[in-house]
Amino acid sequence: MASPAMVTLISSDDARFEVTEAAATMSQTIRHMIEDGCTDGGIPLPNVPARTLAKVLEYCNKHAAATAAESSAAGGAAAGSDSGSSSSADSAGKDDGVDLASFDKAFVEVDTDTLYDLLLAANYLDVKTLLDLCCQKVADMIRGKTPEQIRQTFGIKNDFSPEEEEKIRKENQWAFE
Amino acid sequence: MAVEPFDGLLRVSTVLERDEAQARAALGPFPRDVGHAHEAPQGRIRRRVPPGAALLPAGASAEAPVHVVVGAQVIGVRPRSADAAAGSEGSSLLPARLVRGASGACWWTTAMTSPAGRRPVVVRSEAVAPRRRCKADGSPGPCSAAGRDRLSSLPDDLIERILSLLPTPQAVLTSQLSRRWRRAWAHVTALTCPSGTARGAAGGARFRALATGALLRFPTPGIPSVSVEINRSAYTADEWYLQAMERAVGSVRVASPRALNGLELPPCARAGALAVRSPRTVLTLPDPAADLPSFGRLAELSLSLVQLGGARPLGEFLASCCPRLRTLRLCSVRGPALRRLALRTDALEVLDVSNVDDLTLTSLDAAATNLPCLSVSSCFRSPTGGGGEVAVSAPRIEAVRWYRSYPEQLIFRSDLASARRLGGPLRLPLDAAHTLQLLHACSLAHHLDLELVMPDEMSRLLYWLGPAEQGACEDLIRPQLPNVSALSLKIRWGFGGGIAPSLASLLSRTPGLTRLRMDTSPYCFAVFVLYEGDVPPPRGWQRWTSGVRADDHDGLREVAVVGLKGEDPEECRVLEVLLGSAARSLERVSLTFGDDAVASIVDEIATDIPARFPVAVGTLPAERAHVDQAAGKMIEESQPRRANKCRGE
Repeated sequence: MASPAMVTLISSDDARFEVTEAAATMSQTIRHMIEDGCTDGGIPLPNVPARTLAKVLEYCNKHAAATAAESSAAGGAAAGSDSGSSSSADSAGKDDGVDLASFDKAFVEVDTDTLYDLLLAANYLDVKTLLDLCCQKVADMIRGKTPEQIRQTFGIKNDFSPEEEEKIRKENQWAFE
Repeated sequence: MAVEPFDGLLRVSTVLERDEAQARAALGPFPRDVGHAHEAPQGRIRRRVPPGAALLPAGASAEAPVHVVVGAQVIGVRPRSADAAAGSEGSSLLPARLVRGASGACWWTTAMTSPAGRRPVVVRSEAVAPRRRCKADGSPGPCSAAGRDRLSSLPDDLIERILSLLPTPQAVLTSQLSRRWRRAWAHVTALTCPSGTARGAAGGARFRALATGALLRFPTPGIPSVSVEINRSAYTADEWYLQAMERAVGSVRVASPRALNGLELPPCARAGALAVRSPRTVLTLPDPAADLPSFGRLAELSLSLVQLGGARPLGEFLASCCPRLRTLRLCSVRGPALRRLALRTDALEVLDVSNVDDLTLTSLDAAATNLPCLSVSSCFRSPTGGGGEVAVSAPRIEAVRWYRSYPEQLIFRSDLASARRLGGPLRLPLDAAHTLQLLHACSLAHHLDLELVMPDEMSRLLYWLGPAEQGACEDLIRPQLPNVSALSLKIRWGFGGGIAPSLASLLSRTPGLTRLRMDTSPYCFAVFVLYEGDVPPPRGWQRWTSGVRADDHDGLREVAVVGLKGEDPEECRVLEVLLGSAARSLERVSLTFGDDAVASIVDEIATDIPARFPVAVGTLPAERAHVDQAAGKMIEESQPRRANKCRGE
């Protein structure tokens, strides 16, 4: 492996991050920018502040390093199909899998503000695995709660009139315990 | 060197700059005694910046950003050229270190020369919050502390994504949260119906009502993802179940937490992926008499824990009904339909078979012209001993994984020259014959995954190898593996046994190695107490384990060793071989110690590292969380073990 190609990413607040191309291209958005040759002087990411970008890159670095263990051949095969990529993730070795799983779990143990930032950044940067991870985290926070508990947890304001609310409750009666 | 507690492990990583001159220019004098992070060092300027953000030099304005190099573990700070001109020389890289205060909070700190004068300054980030959990009970935790409802302001597609991950009845309930959420659930792409703990007639009726309701209200006629969890086979005759299968156009998952009275392969004719997981349940394949092909779009089939019943062989079913199958995964599947599994396909791309013991009785015969990935693990373990025959013809194979247990006959009808990845891990000296067969066949592999178990006595080794292999034991890893660039090793060694010489031998067979990962664990001798017999003199063992020196490995750039104890003298020898053979080319070394490692020994080893890297200067002081001031190329950091305790709070 030759010395890894580096790319410079520029956050919305103009901080510059140097990362390996392998890590950066976990983001489809950045991958496309690199393919289009827009890398001179750094890749501007006007929607992502430095604080969030640092966190996203922590994730990308970790996962890029883990998948680097995959051979380029297997990687090429994996790119061919979704099913292939999951199999190559399997073949990365059990320990790597455990390693990554616990990394992922700890990674989203953050306050909700950070979680939203990550969600938005992962969505904009198109890092699918990170997006799935964050969505799953939010879903887990919703799971098993009553609507009132969900409102409390996320600070959602109930803007229905009592009549409206009653109507929806009736509509949803089938889904209630 | 950054140290971070990682799931009970203390991880120590070092990044070495290759070019000494560059490193020295980069590092400049590092102010000493940043001290414990919670104390402000006297006479130094501190400035708070957002956690994880670029660290700004004190006195520098916001329009003077710096480069932050984010590595896996190490973040360095590089002033922009304008600052660099005013401050230090050239393009310099300053180390940023994770410092942990007594409270458990962490900071990234770095030291640099201020742009204005030549005064050294220390900048540090705001505390990186210790990871906190939101309260699970739904009480207002830190989540709503800001008082803003950011969840509702997420874009629609993200909300849909989140709702698609919830059981559908719960997703529906979110329509009651607020106007924003009123119709949000109507865009979900997944139907998820968990029977949960529904018991008895009332529970069953309730589950049926929920599932029927969810299906009735599902917004689109075709359902991209259907996930059904059932605890009774009676549900599969329900109208909602059949409808859901009919409407499924993407992936289908049918799972059961316990044994069912029987299950038919879900009739999802339009689905692209199907997964069935149901312990000890007889799964019946559709009758051949039915109109075929009935699974014309199925690209991925994965069966777990089921027993394949019925007279129809799986191979025949797949050949006639699943023309587009690309991935086949069988995990802990048994049953008569599996015997004589013959796959003849051009479409198959992944064949993954694990814990399938019934194959022992017969054979796996795969002729897949385009198959790139073959994975077989823990199959062919028959209580009656041996048996089985595997013949694989896959000329385009790229990755072979084989773990434990081999059939009596393993034949590759096509050559494996295109295999680039070989793993499983393959075991040595257990399974030596087959491992060597695969190593020989895939001699052009780039990635290799091996498990070495070193017994403490030669007798055991001979016992494992069997009489036929005894002559070869002194040179077990015989094939040259010139193309291997990444090697992953799992190693266990016994008391008194030696692994270093075998490792050296292995390294000498892999001259192209650039990355090495090693997992070590103590050898569990209790496993082999069953062995009885005369103990031959350990001459062979001695012969095998001595006299081999590692050649210089100029290509080895990255070494990671996980699971060190710090006390085993053999570990030292292993590290010596590893690090000594590649001192000039190594760029990254990561040593991870087990939780039971003694801190002082960890520190001792870390202190010892610079001696192995003559060009590296730097020490790792015990019980102090900062880098020494020395101008060196090694960035390292120790961390008191109490950090682990903080984390546990």
